Amino acid sequence: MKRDKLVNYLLLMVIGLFVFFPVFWMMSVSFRPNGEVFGNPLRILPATPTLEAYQKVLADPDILTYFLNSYLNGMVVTAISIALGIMAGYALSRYSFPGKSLLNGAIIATQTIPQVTLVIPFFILMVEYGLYDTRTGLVLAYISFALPYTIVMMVGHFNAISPELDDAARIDGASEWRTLWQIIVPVARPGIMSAVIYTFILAWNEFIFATTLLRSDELKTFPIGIALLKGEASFEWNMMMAMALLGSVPVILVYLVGQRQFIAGLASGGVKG
Amino acid sequence: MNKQQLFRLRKRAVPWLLLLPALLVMAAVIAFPIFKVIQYSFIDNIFLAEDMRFVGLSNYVKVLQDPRTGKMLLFTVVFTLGSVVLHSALGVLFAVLLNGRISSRALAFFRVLYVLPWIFTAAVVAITWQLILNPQGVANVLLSAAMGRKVMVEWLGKPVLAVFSLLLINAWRGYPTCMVSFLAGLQNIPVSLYEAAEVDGAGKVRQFFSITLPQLRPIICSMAILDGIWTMNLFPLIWLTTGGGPLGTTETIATLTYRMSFVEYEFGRSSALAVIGLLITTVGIVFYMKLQKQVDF
Repeated sequence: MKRDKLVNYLLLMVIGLFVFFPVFWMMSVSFRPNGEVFGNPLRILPATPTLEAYQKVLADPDILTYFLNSYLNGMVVTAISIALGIMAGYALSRYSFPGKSLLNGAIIATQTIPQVTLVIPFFILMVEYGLYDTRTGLVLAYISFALPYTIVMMVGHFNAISPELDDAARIDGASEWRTLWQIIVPVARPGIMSAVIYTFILAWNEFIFATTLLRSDELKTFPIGIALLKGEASFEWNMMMAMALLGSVPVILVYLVGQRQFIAGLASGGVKG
Repeated sequence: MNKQQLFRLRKRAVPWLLLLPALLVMAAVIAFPIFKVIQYSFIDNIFLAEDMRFVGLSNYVKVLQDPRTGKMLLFTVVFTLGSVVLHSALGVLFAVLLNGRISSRALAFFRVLYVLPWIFTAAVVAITWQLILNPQGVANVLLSAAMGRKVMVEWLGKPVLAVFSLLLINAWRGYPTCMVSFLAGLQNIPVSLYEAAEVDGAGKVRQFFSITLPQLRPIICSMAILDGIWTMNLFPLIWLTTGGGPLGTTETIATLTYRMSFVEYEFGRSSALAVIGLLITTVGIVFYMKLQKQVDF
């Protein structure tokens, strides 16, 4: 029994090293001067640790704009999807009406529509309707994957709340609308929080819509920005890694804070990779 | 209309009123674009052609006759199946380890560590692995040290190696979603099953194969379908590492659809390929929902 436990820990640690290595390497490279990225011999830890790459990233107004755009888009997309998702999720969780199971199935199915399929009509339609290269256009495109996801999540979370709570509120004379927002939503807050975090990360990570539906530098997002940095001939790997970490750390922190709800949400509400 | 009828009508309208905003938005950003892409696939290049000429199935025929299509299908299948197998295997292994007898503190630590690859955005993952797998990069340095002679493998530059490398990268990035689902599944297996097995003298390995795996099977199957759909449609991870190369060996249905649209501006053909991708995905999701029904109800 003791030996099993030891083997378990040992395996977790050894495999953990492999799993963590790419992240470690990002960190290690981000703290070196660019000349040491492939230096001969290549050191595992930076020989002359420096914050140079971070300073360069933070001093670049374009890169800061990419970060800001990603936050702004993420927040707008999340706010809209959560608001609409709460209403739709409540309807699907609490009421029975003709066509409900079909609608439920359709919403789950939309989660797997390939983005590369949608990006073609998005591009053509947005050029046609003057939404190409606008934040509005990008946000609309993001809602196509964020909204079905929040609805599915919210149905799961509302299903976990006893309908007796609604009945009690109704007996007290509350309208359906008030019951939802003043009784059910506060109770469902942990679930809503995990949906918020997850939706935000989905929007934050999005690449294909942002790369095709935008042209202006001042609208581009973090994933596009880092790909652009790589495209430049200079190959400043230390800067790319510093930018990658600066972009990822806030998301990791949010994840750590919301971890418990988050994992519960992932396991219950349907998942999206 | 009397008061009671009015009341009943209002009551029946409530769910629809709540659903209305979401349904309108989804009609605009999902249903309408899907309808359009199907339409484009029957039109001679919508974007460049002045007259929108209906060309029947000719775009589909062109796509299927495209010399790249065969290679693309082969890699899409290899990459998707390989990734799903790796994700499932690693997911089960790591979930079992995390579900072992470890303290709750260690569990919290390792769980974050093992979910980490999933939190990085695909663009970051692609660039980091390009750096690691660079011919002069750390992977070759470590390999050289292990083998005692200098090696310079072009991980992403040679056809077969690039396939292998992408499988490795995607294995790293993609297993956490499976692992988290399996971990939740493991926690639902009744402990009594294991106790009974222990009484019968079954070892750990035996218990794994005769209790854990069969109990997890429904979750593994449904996750495999979802994972297959996601992997097939993965775009930035491939586009930013190999770009579909070398020589088109790592082109998937997603990257080829993108290339036809936004590199070659052949929107009619790319729409046809996009519709084919959508059909494959639909078959997958129908299977998934059938499975879910068996599990849930």
